[in-house]
Amino acid sequence: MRLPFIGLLLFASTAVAQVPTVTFSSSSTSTTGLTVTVPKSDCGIQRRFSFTRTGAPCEESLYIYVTTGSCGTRPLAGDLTLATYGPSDTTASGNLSFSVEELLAARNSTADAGSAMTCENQTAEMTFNLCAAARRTDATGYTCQTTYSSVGTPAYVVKYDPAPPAKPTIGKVIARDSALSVQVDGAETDSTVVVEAAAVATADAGTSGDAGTDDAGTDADAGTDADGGTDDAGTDGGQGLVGALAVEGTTGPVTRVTKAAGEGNVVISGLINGVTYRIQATIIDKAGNESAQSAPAEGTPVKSNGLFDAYKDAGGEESGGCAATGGGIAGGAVLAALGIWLSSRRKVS
Amino acid sequence: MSSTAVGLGVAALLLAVPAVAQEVTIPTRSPRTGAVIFRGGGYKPRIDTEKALGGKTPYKDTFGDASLLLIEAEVQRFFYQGIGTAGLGLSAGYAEKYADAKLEDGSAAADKAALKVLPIQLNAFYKFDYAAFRWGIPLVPYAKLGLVFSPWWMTKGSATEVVEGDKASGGKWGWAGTAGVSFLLDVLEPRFARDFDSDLGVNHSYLFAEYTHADVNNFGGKGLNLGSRRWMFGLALDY
Repeated sequence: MRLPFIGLLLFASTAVAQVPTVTFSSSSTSTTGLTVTVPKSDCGIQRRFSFTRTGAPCEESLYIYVTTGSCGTRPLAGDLTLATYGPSDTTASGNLSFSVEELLAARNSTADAGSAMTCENQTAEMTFNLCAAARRTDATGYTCQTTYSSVGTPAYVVKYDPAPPAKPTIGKVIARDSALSVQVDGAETDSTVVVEAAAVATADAGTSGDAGTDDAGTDADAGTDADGGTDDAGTDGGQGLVGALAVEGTTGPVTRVTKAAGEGNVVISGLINGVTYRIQATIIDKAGNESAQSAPAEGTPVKSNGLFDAYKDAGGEESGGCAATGGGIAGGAVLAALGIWLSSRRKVS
Repeated sequence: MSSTAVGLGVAALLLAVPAVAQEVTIPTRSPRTGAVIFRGGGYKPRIDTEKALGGKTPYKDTFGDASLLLIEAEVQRFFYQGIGTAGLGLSAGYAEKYADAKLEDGSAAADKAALKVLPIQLNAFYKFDYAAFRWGIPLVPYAKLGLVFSPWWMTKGSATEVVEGDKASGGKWGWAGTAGVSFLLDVLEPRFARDFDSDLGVNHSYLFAEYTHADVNNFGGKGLNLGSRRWMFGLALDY
């Protein structure tokens, strides 16, 4: 019983030694796991993969290609062949580059392709598989199999997602002190909410520059109140001024804030109390497609009083800070010294 | 079986039981060197008592009559154990309170206003536990006198307030005196208390209530008064 088993093992190991293998890798930043997601805007951009290979194909060539079908056959019509290596080719590694545009063009070569597929007119999501296929030897290690097998790993998928997310709606704009809190509805999971705000243009806005400069510099609320600063932006994905005037019917700089969907309201801070801002929101999905802009909404930040405001208004003399900074440091040092002394004291039984 | 044999057996059994009991109940007390204390209670800073406010009540206007929930932990070290116990303690706590900020017309704004305090205290204490250990009276009165430093800050929205160029954060010094009474839990479950000691080194456990008089206003200086008069309740573990 043992002898046939050893013989089988020897045959098997010989066969394994003959099997060609291709190992793919990708450093694409849009790769999540083994899926490379491509938005419509990147349709024509080349995607780059690397590969290493071992073993040699049996009799016929080894093909590296991209297909909408499954791997494990010779490239079919409509597939994009990236590389072909004959049985005697000893290339051990290489790079592969292709764009979705090229993949769509390859699809057009089929007889039943219908109207030409392009980045512009392809609106449905498509999935492409990166494959390597070759003929292997059979279990004896001497005879080539008649059919092709998939020899490429791991199974990378290029997902072309040309569909933009649905247009969001602004559910609510909450006026805060030097800030607006914006509730954006309709964002899909894993997407990013983008909110832009700019001061609403008034009859004299074009010349007075109120929204852009003067008020910002002199308004006590905006200039000195830290709540009107940037702290809220820290919890958001990011906030910054956009040079272009992105919100229709507005004047002055546009403030743009991004935040991951599902993390609550988007807070636009650093605004001027009493100035009406027009707000629009868009959604950027996981692939990078951007939705149409939401219907605009408006909000006006309003001054509010916290405890310290009320305290100061009432005549409180606290000026903040460690009034006894030196004393605080000295006291802290005393406390620390005592703590060390306490902990180092010999235990009293 | 004769009645004599039964009698001898019962006698042997009765003799054996106390022997076993004595072996099990030998107390193994670990050294008693300090205590760890956890307590909580309402903390209402005496902000509105500042003279400069002229009777105005910004704290009450913002938070009403509500107190902050103050949670504290304290570590004590015993330096005297005789007729009672005396030593030094170091505590740190945290309290915060949120309320709606107010618009100019007095209505609630969307922003939240908050007061946050982190009182730190170094104190000397004495507790009269002699009666508890000597005579089994489970009540232990005690007193503390300490130096307090309270970092504080006030926020609106998610940022520290700044009004007229003054940032609403800082630290205030003061003093505090405390009187309280502890109930020795050991009397409820002596066996459990002994196990607690032999297993974890906790000699005694107490529940306590205490009253604190604290003046935290830089010893009568200008500005915020974070002093309070408060009751606190908690658990103390001697180790």
